[in-house]
Amino acid sequence: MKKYILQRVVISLVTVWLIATCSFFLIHALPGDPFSTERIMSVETKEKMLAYYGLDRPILEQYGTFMKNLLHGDFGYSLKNPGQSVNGIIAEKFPVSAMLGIMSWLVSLPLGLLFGILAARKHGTAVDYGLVAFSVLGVSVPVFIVASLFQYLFAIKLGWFPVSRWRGWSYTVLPVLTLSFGSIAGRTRSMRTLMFEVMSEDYVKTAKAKGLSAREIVWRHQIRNAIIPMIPTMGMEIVGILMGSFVVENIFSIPGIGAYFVTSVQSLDYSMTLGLTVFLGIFVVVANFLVDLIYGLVDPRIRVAK
Amino acid sequence: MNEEVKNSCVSASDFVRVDRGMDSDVIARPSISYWKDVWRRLKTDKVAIICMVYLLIVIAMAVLAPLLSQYSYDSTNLSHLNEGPSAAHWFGTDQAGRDLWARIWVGARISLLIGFGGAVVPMIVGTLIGGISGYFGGWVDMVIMRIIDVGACIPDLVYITLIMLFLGAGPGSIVIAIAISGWMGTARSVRGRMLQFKNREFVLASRTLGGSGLHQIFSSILPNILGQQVVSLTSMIPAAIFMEAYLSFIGLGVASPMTSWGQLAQTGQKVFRQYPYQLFIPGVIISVTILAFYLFGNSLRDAMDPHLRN
Amino acid sequence: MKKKLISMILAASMSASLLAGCSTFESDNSSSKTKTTKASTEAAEDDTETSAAKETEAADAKESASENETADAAGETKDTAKAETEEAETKTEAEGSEATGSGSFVWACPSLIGMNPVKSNSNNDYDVYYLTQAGLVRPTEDGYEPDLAERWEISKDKLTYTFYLRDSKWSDGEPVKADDFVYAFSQYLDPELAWINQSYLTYIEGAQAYASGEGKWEDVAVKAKDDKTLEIKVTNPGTDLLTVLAFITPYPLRQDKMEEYGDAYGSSVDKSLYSGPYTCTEWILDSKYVLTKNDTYWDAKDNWQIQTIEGMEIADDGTKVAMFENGEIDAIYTIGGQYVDQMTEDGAAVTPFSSNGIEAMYFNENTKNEAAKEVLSNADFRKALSYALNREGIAQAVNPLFHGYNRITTEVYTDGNGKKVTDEYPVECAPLAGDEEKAKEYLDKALKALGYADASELPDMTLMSYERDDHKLMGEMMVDAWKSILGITSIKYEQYPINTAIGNFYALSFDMFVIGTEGGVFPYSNAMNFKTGGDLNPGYWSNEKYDSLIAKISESTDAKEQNDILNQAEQLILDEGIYCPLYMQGQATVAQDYVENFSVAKKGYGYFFKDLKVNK
Repeated sequence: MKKYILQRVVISLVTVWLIATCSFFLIHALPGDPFSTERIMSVETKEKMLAYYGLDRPILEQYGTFMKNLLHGDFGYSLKNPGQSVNGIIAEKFPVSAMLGIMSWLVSLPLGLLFGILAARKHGTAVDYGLVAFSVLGVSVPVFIVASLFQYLFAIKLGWFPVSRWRGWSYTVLPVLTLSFGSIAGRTRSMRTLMFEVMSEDYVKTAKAKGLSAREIVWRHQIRNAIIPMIPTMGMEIVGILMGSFVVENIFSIPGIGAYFVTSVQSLDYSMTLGLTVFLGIFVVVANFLVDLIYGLVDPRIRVAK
Repeated sequence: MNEEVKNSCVSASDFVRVDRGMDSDVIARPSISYWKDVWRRLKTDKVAIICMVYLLIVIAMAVLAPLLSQYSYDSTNLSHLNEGPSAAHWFGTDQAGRDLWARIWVGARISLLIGFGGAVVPMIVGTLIGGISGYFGGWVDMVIMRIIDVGACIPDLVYITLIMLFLGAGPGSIVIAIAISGWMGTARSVRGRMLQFKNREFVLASRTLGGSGLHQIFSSILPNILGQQVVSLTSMIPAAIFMEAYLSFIGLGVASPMTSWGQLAQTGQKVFRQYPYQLFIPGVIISVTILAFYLFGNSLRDAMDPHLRN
Repeated sequence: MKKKLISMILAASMSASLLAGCSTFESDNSSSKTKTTKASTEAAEDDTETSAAKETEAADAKESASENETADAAGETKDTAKAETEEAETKTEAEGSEATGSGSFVWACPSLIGMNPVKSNSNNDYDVYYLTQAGLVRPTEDGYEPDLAERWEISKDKLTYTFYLRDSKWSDGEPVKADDFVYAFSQYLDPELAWINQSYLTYIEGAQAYASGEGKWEDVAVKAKDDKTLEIKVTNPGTDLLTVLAFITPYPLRQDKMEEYGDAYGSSVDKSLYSGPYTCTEWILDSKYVLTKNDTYWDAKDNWQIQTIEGMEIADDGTKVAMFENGEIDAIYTIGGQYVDQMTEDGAAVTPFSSNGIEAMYFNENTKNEAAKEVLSNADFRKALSYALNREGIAQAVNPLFHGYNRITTEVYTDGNGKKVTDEYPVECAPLAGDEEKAKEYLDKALKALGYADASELPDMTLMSYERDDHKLMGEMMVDAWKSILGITSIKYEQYPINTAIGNFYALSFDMFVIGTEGGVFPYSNAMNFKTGGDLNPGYWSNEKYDSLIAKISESTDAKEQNDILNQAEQLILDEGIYCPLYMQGQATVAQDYVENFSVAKKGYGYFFKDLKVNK
């Protein structure tokens, strides 16, 4: 076990390094430069700015500087917002997105599982079809539409919740609902399918034969076994959630980190993009590590350490 | 013990001898191939039939409606901007005065193509890779999983832009771009399932009988994973449809003036307070079509599931 | 057992993070929002219907009062007065004009990117600096007025400007000295720093040489005669330096603090210094900023009544409108055209304005598309495309606030007699509604000259632009117009992310490109961009006659002569058709009915809040 953990740690570090390197070269391969914006400037001006930020140096030299700073944990300064350190921006915005994401996860996880179980148990009835329709809606209606509709209905028309911003608990309701809407739906469907699979397993038949009530079977055997395949995906889910939803933060004016994932690539803000990518990378690697570990612990049939 | 048997209510005459003749080997039902059987089961599922019919209608409309319509999908008309549905324009007109009925069905072609392609291709790629990773384990697994880790962290936008640059715009490259950013999730989940199944008894049995690695994967394990995958497939289709819309917005989607359901929904959302029909029409059509795909997929899966054989 | 432990740990960390999450909430220092505003609006409208007589009375009173308001652009005053009149119903007449106003103003505006005037690349930042900084002169609606320069003298030969500074302090208590201006100019002209408005400062003697790296700072004619006297020399007596200074607003800078903070200057509230009517007391990047009144500002007593200004960045248009309707914000910097009708009906003060920038299409005579080169170099072909467009119709369809436009010079410029330059110097150009007949004539001439039998034989060409809401729709409409009117089917519209697109523009990898310009200080500022080597001409066209006309303007010292030559240059470039103006972007500010004197700059920068009042 110890050996396995050590191995994984080393590999994780290598992975993070790989992430940083691949991102660096890929992003610099994108055409254009950070200063070609709507504000027209003369070619000389643009060249001066590129020189000022060291962007006219040979690519390998830039890479060297980048790696050196990375080892110190310094992601440099944003090109779009001069003077703002990338570390600073991440430190300020990330907790907000994380909070939003965690709350959504806490809402969608139990509800999704519950609906999935319900649908499976009431297979073929109106409840089942209803939940299926709900879950299909959840995945086929895109987030920006859901967000607009919720905002329009509950905040503008009914006035139950504030329209936007992030100033207190009441402000969290609509964004969380929006974000979890899609996940609940997805989880419902997955859980339902997994429940069916489990239902036809031998051990369920055995339990039935042993005389266990339907309820006991569901609780003690089916659910546990159905949840297990969902665990690996949870790792990536959490990461996605923590990184914030660009659309939800955009529509509800939440000062999170989501927006930067999109805008920094679009505006070719190299330092910001790389900073975010590496930050995300660390999360992904750690999350997957933990998930693999838990997976192995939870399901004795899986021997992760080969 | 004999005492009890003697004293019980059961007597020797209660037992009838079974004639173990040729009859016992007669197969009760006529022989039927696997796929014929699937079709037979499907036919009895009313929901499946409705969905199938709906999908066929949609496909037919996508092909025929733009050809039969009196309006072209790209002809603008400054005197008929933003008109609601009417006899002249069944779905109304958009911001540039273009007929929405024609645009929806032209868009259908793109969305069905990209939606399907952008879901099936990553599904296939992801399943293959995930399956291999999970089945073989060890170094293969480690390397593949790390590649996925790296790929997942780099913003999608980066490789999509690069791919579009090299391959040019067009539905084909969009599908490839979406596939490349989408196969990782599938791979990861398939790998997890593979780990679950790989040590199961039926797999061991198959191995004992001499099946090779890849054969194992395909014939024994995959059908079990199929159910989950069908579920994911039907959420990957709308994801692909909307990814295309998003890409078009930043200039990487299907080229103007061609449009798609995703694009129509996205532009409709911008004016939904003033002209709600511009959002609702494409939105409802997308949702209903996805629902049809899902229910049909579900029924198909049930029809293919040996456990549910009646 | 293990499982239980794991789930407990997970649960504990979840709850811990939730509790920690409380700290992520923003502080709510805006004045309490009034949900009642909506209710009172509705009540007001009801009352208005019932008492017609009272309405006309109040209408008259309000109209004469509002005639004096400088807030709204001409033409809109009547409408806003009407809206305000309906609201006046529920307010007691006694309120009138001596309402003291509430102390705070909350509005939706673009985000602040940085507070370092030298490094700033963004117009929005300069709008904010208008409130937090003070320069020699301060731009206003109609021109400029003295700011830190109490008075000035212009020498007889019009080459030397001497500014006498008043007593004023920086936000840290230090007095503002002439040296601060000298230091500032050295930064703005620094050849390595590339200040955004550097090209305007080249009117100053020695500046051009220094900024291009060839001259010395000592030769630049910006000198501090003493702590309170600043002397600037210009190269051309025809330059109105004050107008230039008002337009580009070069603010003074403190050398000691800029050197102390270096790159981090302006990156946070405490790493910046303020010299203007407000100081920035809070700033959350890309979210909001709060400005608090600076009572030591020289003009603080009689003007700048608002105590705190809170600027919120709200990304989504729908959200902005919703918050406005809810009464959570007092004004909006810009909203999309589709909301204008709705909000006007609701009684808000909607003021459309044009930002003086022209969106135009450029043809590339040096395109890499060999097959199209000849075609694009044919002036008749270019004009055919231009005349075929119903600019007004297309612009309005894209956004009801946009207006078609067909010239280089815009309507904000006036000549010496207060008359619009565009009226005094007309040109012959494509009519706003288009001219299909003429377009077809031009096309026929072009086809004959190029040797094509008809339009369908033309080679493939691409109309390119970058991603922005209006571009795609506009591009599609233009392409369709050319198809249906001229029969040209080989033109396609392509859109790219902005950096790529602009990169293509400068690399001359395009056939036709749509991009906008901002208006400049002088009527001829825009025209200068198109000369060979000009800021907006990376090489798609070169015309000796045009260049010589532009050179003559620069040398000219007489405004009338400048406008005459400009007229010739404008006619030339429009006849050539290489520059095809399309439309002017329009925006609209929206203010609640209880906000008075809300105004923003239409030319140049600034939030003109000197007389802003909020009567809540």
